[in-house]
Amino acid sequence: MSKPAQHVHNLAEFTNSNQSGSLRTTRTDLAPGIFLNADPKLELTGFYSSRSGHFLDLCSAPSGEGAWLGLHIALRLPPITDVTYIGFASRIASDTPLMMRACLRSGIEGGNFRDSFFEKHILTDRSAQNYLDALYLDSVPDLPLTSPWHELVVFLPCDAFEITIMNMHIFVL
Amino acid sequence: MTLDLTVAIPSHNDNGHLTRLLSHLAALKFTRSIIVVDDGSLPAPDHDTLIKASGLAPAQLTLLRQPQVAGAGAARNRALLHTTTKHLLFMDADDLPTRELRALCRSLAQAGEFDFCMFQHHDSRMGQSGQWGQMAFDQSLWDKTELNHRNLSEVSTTDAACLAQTANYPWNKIYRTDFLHAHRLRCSDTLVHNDIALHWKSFLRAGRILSSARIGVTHFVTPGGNRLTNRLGAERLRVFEPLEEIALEISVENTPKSPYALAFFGFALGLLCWVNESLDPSLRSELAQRSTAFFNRYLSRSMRTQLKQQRPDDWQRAAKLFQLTV
Repeated sequence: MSKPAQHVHNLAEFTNSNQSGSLRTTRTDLAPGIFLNADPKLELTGFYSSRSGHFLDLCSAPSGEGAWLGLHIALRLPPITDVTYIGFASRIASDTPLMMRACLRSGIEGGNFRDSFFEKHILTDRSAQNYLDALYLDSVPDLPLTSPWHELVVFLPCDAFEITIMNMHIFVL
Repeated sequence: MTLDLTVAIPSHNDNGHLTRLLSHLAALKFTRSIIVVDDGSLPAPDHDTLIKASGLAPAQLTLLRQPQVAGAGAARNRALLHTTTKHLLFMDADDLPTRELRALCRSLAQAGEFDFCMFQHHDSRMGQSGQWGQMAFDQSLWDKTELNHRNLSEVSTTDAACLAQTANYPWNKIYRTDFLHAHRLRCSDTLVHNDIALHWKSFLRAGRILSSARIGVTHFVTPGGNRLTNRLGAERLRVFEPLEEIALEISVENTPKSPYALAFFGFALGLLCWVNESLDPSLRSELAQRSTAFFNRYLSRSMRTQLKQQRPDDWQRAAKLFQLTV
């Protein structure tokens, strides 16, 4: 198993950092390669914080109705033909019950992308829950074997919510 | 150490999928040679474009062409004549190989001489319900054997007779090229049902068969498309050509091929019922007449009794359609 740091070079740094700020309407950069991307129609407001040792606290308060809000984590992967599994483990709590999904996003030529969704839904509640899932890449035939870039995208609710992502670990096997 | 392998691909008006497959083969790097036989596509694909789009080395790809559409069987036969590697795998242009196939090739390179190795596949229809693997009918036949959970295994005659009843796909077997040549094994030159003869004769003639539960290929099925699979006309009646060939070879009793008899005629019952359902209605009476004659010619009373016991659903349907009695 490769060290996660090889695949997301800023994940550990971000988790160990102390920072906070307001959410921007469309894109909020948390660290190089880690950002929130929101549908402008959401008219997103809110704030985030990342205390040392914790990945991310998010408080989202959209005033509009939009279609997406995603937490994007850029991945640096070895040749995808040599990878069997890509997955992530996380411990998450939220103020209300939430259901989310995550995908591996692969860039394709022409500036577009293809999403390969993890099978399990992410279910959260006030008591922290562990989440662990992995894509078995052979079972994702549409996954491009050559991509200019990859991201892990966690699709967050488009309603108001508060979420605590205590940790986030990405693994590539 | 890896297998000395050619992947042979018939292609008809499917350059998009063909390029996707070639790109995967280039990325996975498990095949020495690739032969594409274009079956009368318009526009015809050209070698330089395929090389550029796929990332293959120019010498790795041989592009042959049948100017008139002759079907996938004829295209595969042409590819076989040009194969110079020790092993051969047929793939459809819209198939995709998996990493598991690459791993299987590594295992086979050290498995000693074999005539063919049959592996499992993923059918895209299973993906619609979030599953990965074969259709239930094919999987049930694997599950009747002890082969369904093994990376690589020798196949006994009893288990081979079971696996032979799976859908007659050519792209789930890695063949030894000299085995195909020595036994003059070919696809039929018919537009449809061209895989039946190759499939069954391979089982009948093979000395050493291997199997792998690894999923080597993703096969895409698009109902209602313009693929040859979806043709419903008179060409379907040519199904009797390979069936007669195999029946003749298999029906001689007390030979090493006898264990396949029940499997084959059970398969034929199911196949002809399927053809009846998907055939143009105006052709059904002719199909029924020819089916009746076929089964009356080859099925002994004891065989009918066994089929009725072992495949009651197929027997019941066929008996009604083709007026079969015990």
